Amino acid sequence: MVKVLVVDDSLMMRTTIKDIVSSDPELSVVGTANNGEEALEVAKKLTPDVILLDIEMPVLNGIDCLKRLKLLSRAKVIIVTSLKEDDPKVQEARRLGVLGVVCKPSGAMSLDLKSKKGHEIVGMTRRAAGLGASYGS
Amino acid sequence: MEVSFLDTIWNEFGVESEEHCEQLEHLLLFAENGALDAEGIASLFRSFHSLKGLAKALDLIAMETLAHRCEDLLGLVRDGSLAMTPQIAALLLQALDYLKEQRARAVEERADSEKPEELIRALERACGAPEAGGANAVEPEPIVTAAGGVCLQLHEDPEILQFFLEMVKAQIPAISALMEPPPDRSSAEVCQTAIESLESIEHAASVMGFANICDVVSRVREELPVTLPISTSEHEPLVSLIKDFHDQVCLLGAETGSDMDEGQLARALVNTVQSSLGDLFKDILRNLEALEHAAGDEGTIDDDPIAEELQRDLTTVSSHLSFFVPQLPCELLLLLADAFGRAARGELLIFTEIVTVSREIVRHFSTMFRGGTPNVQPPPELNRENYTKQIMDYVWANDSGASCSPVETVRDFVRSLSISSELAEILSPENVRDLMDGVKKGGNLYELLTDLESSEEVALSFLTWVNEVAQVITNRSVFIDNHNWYEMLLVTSLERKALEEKLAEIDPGGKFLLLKAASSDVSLDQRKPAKAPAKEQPQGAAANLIRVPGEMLDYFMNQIGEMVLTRSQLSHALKDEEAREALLTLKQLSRQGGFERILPLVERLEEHQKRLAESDVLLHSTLGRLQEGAMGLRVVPVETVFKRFPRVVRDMSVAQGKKIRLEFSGQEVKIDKAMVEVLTDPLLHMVRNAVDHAIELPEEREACGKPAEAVVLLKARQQGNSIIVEIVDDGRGIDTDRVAAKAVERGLATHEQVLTLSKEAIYDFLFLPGFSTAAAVTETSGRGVGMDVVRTNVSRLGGNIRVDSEVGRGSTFTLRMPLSAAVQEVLMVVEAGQTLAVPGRYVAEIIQVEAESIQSVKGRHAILLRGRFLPLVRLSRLLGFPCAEKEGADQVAVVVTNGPHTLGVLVDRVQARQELYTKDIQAALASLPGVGGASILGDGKVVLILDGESLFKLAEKCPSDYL
Repeated sequence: MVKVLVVDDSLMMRTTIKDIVSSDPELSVVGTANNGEEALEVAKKLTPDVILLDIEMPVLNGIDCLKRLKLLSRAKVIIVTSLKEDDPKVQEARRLGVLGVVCKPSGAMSLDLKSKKGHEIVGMTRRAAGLGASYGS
Repeated sequence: MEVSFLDTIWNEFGVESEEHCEQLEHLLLFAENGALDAEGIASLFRSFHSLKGLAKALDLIAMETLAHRCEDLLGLVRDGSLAMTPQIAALLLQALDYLKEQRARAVEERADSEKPEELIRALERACGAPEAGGANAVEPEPIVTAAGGVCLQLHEDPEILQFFLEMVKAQIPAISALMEPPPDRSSAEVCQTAIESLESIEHAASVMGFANICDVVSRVREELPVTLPISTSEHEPLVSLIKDFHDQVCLLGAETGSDMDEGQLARALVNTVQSSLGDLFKDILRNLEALEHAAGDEGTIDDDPIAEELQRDLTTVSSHLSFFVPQLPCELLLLLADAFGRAARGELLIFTEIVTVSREIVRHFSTMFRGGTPNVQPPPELNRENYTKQIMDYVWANDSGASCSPVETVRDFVRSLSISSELAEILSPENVRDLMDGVKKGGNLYELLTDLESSEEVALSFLTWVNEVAQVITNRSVFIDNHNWYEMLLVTSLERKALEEKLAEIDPGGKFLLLKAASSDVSLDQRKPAKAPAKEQPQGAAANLIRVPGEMLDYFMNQIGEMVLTRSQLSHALKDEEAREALLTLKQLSRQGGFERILPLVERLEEHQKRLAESDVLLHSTLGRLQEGAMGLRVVPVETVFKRFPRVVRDMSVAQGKKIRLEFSGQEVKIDKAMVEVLTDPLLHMVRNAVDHAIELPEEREACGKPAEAVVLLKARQQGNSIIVEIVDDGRGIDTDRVAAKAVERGLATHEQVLTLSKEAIYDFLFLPGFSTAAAVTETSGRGVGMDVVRTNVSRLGGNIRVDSEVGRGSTFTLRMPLSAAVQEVLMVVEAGQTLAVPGRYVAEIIQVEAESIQSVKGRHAILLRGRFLPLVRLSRLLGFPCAEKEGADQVAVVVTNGPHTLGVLVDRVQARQELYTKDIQAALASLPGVGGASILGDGKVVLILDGESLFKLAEKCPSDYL
């Protein structure tokens, strides 16, 4: 069972992403955090395999959190953000070394997210964990 | 030979890129076995980098891209972001293979190849994953290539650095607990917590790029778990590693200006060492007291066991202390340990003096250490220089004379004084001690040569004076000009000038007292520093080299060859009997009446002839030198042949699942460059054979009690005019029964015949065309077209192959080739109207055969030569020429031998020995039995050179009735 940590400051996003990920029987969301600092604590405690990380967060933003996560944890990180690909923060995240970036449209409609991006998120998470592209493969 | 500029560029590319590829292969094979160091990695990087540059210069984009990726990958390994795993090495080898193909294509067609997309992507993936080498069923798609490396960026971020430091600081209590475990937790728990802490530090440190910390922490982790608490006596390596970790943390703290609270760790370490140290100090002091009380009346102490114990304890304390607190002058303790060691061996006398000194020193240390903190400054009374001098003086002074080691070092010392070696030789140990004493007291050493027999006056004055001011260490008598002189070695406090003046006073003429050598300012502490070996300057050497294409050398060699032949023709013409006779006749005629005017003309002709003959001789010797020199140009070490083999063997053993180690010997043996191609193919074939057929799978080998790793040894050596290469394997050996059976099966021999054959004869079957005992045709050999062709080719060039084997133990294939393929020394013979050349190395001697001495043995003809039977055969019979029978007449025979076999070959006439330049001949001719090559004689005639080996084979088949 792959352990996944979902980090996002929006409760709705956390719930939606958790929903999406849980739809795959081989993935399990073991924890959530709503800012970078909480994310560090939870990661230390629960040692997830994959972390889905938002960038824009209070207290400690995603990039600073990512840097520390690199030291603290061996989990693979996937950025889930509303920022565009050419945003400098996204580029920095790539430079630091993440497994992938999923861009969610701003003010995400849960429906939109579920249908289009849902597959992408699950697929990437599976690949990060070394599984086949979809359940049963 | 016209060479265009473009050709030059491509040539350069070809040569340089080949060199780089070779270097890369060589290093990558090491890397795959985990045997590559930092220097090697840097070298790999440079080579790929250079290949990239070369490709770019010639617009070979595909090659450039591939090399670039490899360079990137190596860059990461070099920085420490990636480890060189066998998988990465294998990937790079794959890339290298492709690069080699690209290079070959480039050189041949001067064209670019296609980009190997798959390979490039694989390389990029390898770069992109910081934790490379995971055995995932489906590799995550590379979305990011972190070309810059994460670590650098994080390293430079001060906030993250702080975060890292905090993290490490937080783990220190867990590690300290290893040495001071809390009473309420079990050993297993403490160890587990410590292991977790160590792992998290290791991970973070590796991401940050702090390789040293990462390394030491992982090594500490490897030593756990242990039973706690840790003590220096039981867990010395572990304590030592924790000490290293402590030092690393201190360093970090110092560089970043933060407090890492390493004091906690330090205190824990001190406590660990402290208890064992405390015990050691107690033991030492106790023993020293015991020694003091055991002092006999003369003041000497003789107690070997105690001395031994002291030596051991002092050494241990010293090593504990020195790793722990480096500022302490722990060598003092080692010096003491050494002194007691000698005492235990009976080489040193123990007086109270040394015991007192020892106690003082040890007490100083003991007090220092009780202070409780490491990095303590030694007290001023613990003066290193003073104590060292005291101990050393004691040791020199109280040497019991039983050991030889002081004398050895003194011998070196004496040698360094440049005294005549004969004098130095006769120095006895007492002499040496006197010498040392004298020098210690500030004396100077002189060597005098004295004549004490010619003048009584001088002798008397000298001897009186010498006994007052100097000490004669030793002397010896020397005979010079029928006189007995004395060479003596003196030690005196006189300075050189004063001595010379005194000598001049005693012997004003300077005839009887000669100062030969002087060594002033000699000090016992003078230790000659070992000369660091001069570093090879490859740059300088390389700068003097010029690269010349092999074809050019071949061209020159050919020209020289033609010159030799032409000169030979000239020589021949000069010796023309007819011309000489004509001249003589002319001369005679001209002396008769009426033709006196012709005489001077004839004489001029004669002179002309003489001058031509002289020029011919000169030309001969010059050409000879030119030839030799040119041959020398083409000489390369046999290593050139061998260098391909590691890769081939590695690929084959990987493919077949065998473990093979390739070893070389005699790589520096030199051969003609032309021989390289000639040798490579047969050797390669034989090595392939060995791997395919001879070497067993690891399990099979172990079942036989052999090591799983097979060894194939390639040995080269020079023997006279030949080069001998042996391929020795420790495989299953050749099963003669199987070979014989196969031979019968193939109809090459009958069952009965096979029973009578020797082992060697059975091995010969292996060299027949179409023969193969391999159960299946493998990819590399077993097609059965190998060994026969190999043997023919080898034979054609004047060599031979021999086999020896032992079932279950292994086989040895011995390949023998003449050093120079081109020039052969031959014996010219005439037989059946044909001029033929017998290779000189086979000719043992030439004998006259009397008709009566020919005997018939087992249907063959032979004579008795020096007590042994020499079989005789007519050469024309051997070669299948029609020949006239020559019965009853005395004949001449050439005795040929190839080592084990000897044969007398009857010929019509033996002409002369000469050198021939072997020319290439058509393959059809070459494969004729008996033919080894051809050449052109001075008179333009073509002559066939016989193949020595085949003479013996043909002889066996010869019908036995006539000669």
